[in-house]
Amino acid sequence: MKLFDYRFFSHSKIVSGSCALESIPAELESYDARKPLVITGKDITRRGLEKKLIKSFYDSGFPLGGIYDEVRDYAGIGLAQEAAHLFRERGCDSLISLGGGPVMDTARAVNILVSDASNDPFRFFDGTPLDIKMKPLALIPTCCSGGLEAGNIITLDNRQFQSDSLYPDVIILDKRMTPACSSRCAAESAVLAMDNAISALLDNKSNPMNDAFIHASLQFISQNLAKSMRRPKNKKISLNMANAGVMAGIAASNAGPGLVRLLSEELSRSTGLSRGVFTAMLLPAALVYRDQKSGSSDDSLLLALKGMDVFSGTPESKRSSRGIESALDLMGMTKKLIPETLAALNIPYYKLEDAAEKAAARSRKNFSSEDCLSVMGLSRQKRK
Amino acid sequence: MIMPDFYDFCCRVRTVSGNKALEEIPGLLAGMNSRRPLIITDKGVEAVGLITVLKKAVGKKLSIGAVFDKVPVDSDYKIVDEAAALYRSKKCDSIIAVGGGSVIDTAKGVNIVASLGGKSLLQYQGAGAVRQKLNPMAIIPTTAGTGSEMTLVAVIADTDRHIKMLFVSYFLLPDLAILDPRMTATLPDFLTAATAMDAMTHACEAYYGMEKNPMSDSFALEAIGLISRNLLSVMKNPGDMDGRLALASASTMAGGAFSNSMVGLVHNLGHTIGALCHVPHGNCMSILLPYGFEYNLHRRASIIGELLFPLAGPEVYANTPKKDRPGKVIEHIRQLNQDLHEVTAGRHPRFLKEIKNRQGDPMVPRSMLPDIAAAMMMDGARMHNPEEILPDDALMVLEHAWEGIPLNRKKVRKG
Amino acid sequence: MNINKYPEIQPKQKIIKKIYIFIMLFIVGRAIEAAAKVDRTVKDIFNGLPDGFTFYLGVNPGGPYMVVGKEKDGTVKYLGWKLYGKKISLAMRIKNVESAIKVFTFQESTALAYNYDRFIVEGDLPRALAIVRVLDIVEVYLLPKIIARLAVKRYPHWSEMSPMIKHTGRIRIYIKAFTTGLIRVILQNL
Repeated sequence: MKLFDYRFFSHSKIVSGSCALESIPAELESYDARKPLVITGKDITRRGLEKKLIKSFYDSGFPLGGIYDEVRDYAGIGLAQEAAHLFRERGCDSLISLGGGPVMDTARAVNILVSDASNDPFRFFDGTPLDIKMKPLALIPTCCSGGLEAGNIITLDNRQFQSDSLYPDVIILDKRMTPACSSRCAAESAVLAMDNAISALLDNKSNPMNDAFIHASLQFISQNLAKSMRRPKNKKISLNMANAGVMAGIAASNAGPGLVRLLSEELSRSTGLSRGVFTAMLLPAALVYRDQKSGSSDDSLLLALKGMDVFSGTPESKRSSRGIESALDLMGMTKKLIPETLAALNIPYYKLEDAAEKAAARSRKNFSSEDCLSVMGLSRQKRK
Repeated sequence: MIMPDFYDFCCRVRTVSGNKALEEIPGLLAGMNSRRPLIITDKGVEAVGLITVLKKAVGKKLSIGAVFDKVPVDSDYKIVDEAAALYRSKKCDSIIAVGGGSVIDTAKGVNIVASLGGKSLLQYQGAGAVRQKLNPMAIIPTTAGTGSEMTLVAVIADTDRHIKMLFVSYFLLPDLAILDPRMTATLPDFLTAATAMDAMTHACEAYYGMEKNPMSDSFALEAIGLISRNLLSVMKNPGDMDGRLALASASTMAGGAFSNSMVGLVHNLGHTIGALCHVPHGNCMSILLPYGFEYNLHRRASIIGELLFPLAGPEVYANTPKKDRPGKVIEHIRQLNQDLHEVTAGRHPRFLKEIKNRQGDPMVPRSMLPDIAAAMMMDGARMHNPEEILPDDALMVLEHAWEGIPLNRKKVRKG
Repeated sequence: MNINKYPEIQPKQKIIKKIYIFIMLFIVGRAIEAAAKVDRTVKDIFNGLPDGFTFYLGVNPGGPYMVVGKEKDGTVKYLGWKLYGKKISLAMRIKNVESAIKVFTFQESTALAYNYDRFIVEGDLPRALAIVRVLDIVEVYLLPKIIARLAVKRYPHWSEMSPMIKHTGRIRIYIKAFTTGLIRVILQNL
């Protein structure tokens, strides 16, 4: 890629910290919206998070049109249509997604349904550009999300498409919402965020804006990962990790999907296991594979992970290798919590081949199915 | 990386950078259903042929509605109204702004009137007046620069009432920022220096300001690194297109940084000097930047020290003990000003008494310093400076900056 | 689908917090009126503002508020807690009750709250800056140093405000705030 030949777009306004939830009414009002519908899921209401959201709306003068909490681990058109019906009945004018992953995808689907007159949302999945005026959409990440909800991709009923109109307008990071439910959940979210950031970094040679998002994300992951696994419910640490996840998600949306993301998505789909598990295995292997294959040195990883002091203190010739080592060490921290190995999972070889082919087909020739198989092969050996 | 107790960040502008970025404009505008833009520019930009370069690059793929080139040095609401009337009469559906700060601010004002209706920009004063998405707008900066393509603010004068109106809304952010080195390739050396130092100041002030946040920090560090590595080489070799692109990216990122993290003492005094003495903004910035560091040093020492990394590189950073880094940063900026002064054969001023107009007359008389110190209270930037600034403090800094001597830090009143 | 399963939720109120903010705003408003008679700098700032200039500080969207205005004869008066019927030149609103609590319990200084985008300012910005300066000075008078230091960016050095002036000013402001015209303004606003 030629130097400084790039495109970059980040639509969302990020609001993070104390009183972030309370700022939602003012943010919606700046879009002339006053009655949001909240989309959330059972695992979020089980933890009582929607009560905190309701309380943050006290004294705002803004009613909540309703709290639709039927989303479980899958975003489907049926639930989206129900929620869209509720949206119209209540006269809502905006949406709040309390939760990431399938909750955010459902909210996006509702947004399409209520903003598009045609009542045929799947035409956008078939290639029609999504250039209709959408309702304002606020995202409140909770735990167990990899950060891609901050991006511009929707997955509905196992179909996917990407459009800049799918970005949330506002992302609210509040420490009342970010604590993880368990150490394992914190580890998986962290691993997904790491993949988003690292794959984007190694893909974009001279996109300084994307690099800025990536650097900030990796700094926070590096400083907070160990603590977030030991104390997943700690508010301050979880807020830092949620920030890192969002920044990495935005970077990944600009960079395009890497080998690890596509392959882990295909493997997850075919085995039913979470994408975090596969990412934890594949990311270290992919890094090593890339290093072996390209042979070129790239010191940006060290600066992003370890900061200025360590970078300057490392001799120039060693920066690239030390960067990869630091990344592998960081990922190695999760091995106690995500102990699964590709070997132990006993996935039939035909499934691995199939996943490799599908991932390569989606990659637009950035990598081949042989690359995927090599990475999986390496992960069988290298998983520490 | 520091996580503040609260922050917000938005850089909602699609940035397209490259040697052929201009050629992408027709496709990008078509993607926003825009086919007939109004080009807003000033006579200076037109005179150096940049509109011709743009027209050649977009060719027949874009049908330009009209070109409005009457933007004055300071944006004025009457000009905005005139341009909006032209937009309507030529049935335009979008705006392309080609120029520096005042062209960009004017274009933002025109977009308000053209999109929301009405006869005059005056109808849209006040907070919350702009609450919906405006018509498509692309900004092609011709300096590197003010970073206004990333700010949500437009400052437009009302010459009848002798005030400057401030319009603030996220909807003022343009849809596109086009960074193409052909647009800055012909910038004279003293302007390259002044505008790059403007960007440098934006980034530095964003880094130590009170609204500092991880994203603006990241943007600021990248911007400072890009300027440090490329400015002097572009000054010596003006045709270095990669270097020009690097400075353009740096300026846009510095704009993104300061528009989210705000600016402090340097802009506070700089705006005031600009308003009272009509000194070009970039010159005020480069002179006052070392003083901004010195004044705030007791509150921001280690943060300022971190800037040595992008400014001077990893070797110098590693070889400088941590406690000496802030001092080295200040020294580095002063040396940079000195180098720019030499490369521009004296046109880049190093201190306030050295600023001269085209006729060679000094623009900042010493007798004006008390007036500047008093007027400084009216500028909002002082709210974002880490240390309080009252008229006595400002006068003390101005006197040092006038002579060009480092700030006597014992005189700084520390909170 | 039974939409009654997902009822609409009307926002409640945080009564106790709003009462606390009301009391703080009341005291600050009365103190500004008193300080305009007692402190040189506050006097000068108000002299620089036009007659009839009225501003309010309050919480979005529905209050509480405190309104202060400069009468035609130049005197500065606390005009009460109701906005109705008053011609407002400058409005400074804190975006929500929680943010206002942060300011009035000194967890965030006025400057920090401004930096954290907690304020919406409608009106002339230089005048808003002048009023913030007045608020800072009034806080130094009203509060003991240990708390005032949390509220203002830089606590004035003794060379800027001598302890004698500060303490006598403090006594005079407290007396005036709780006596002069207090009943009148309460009755006018009920």
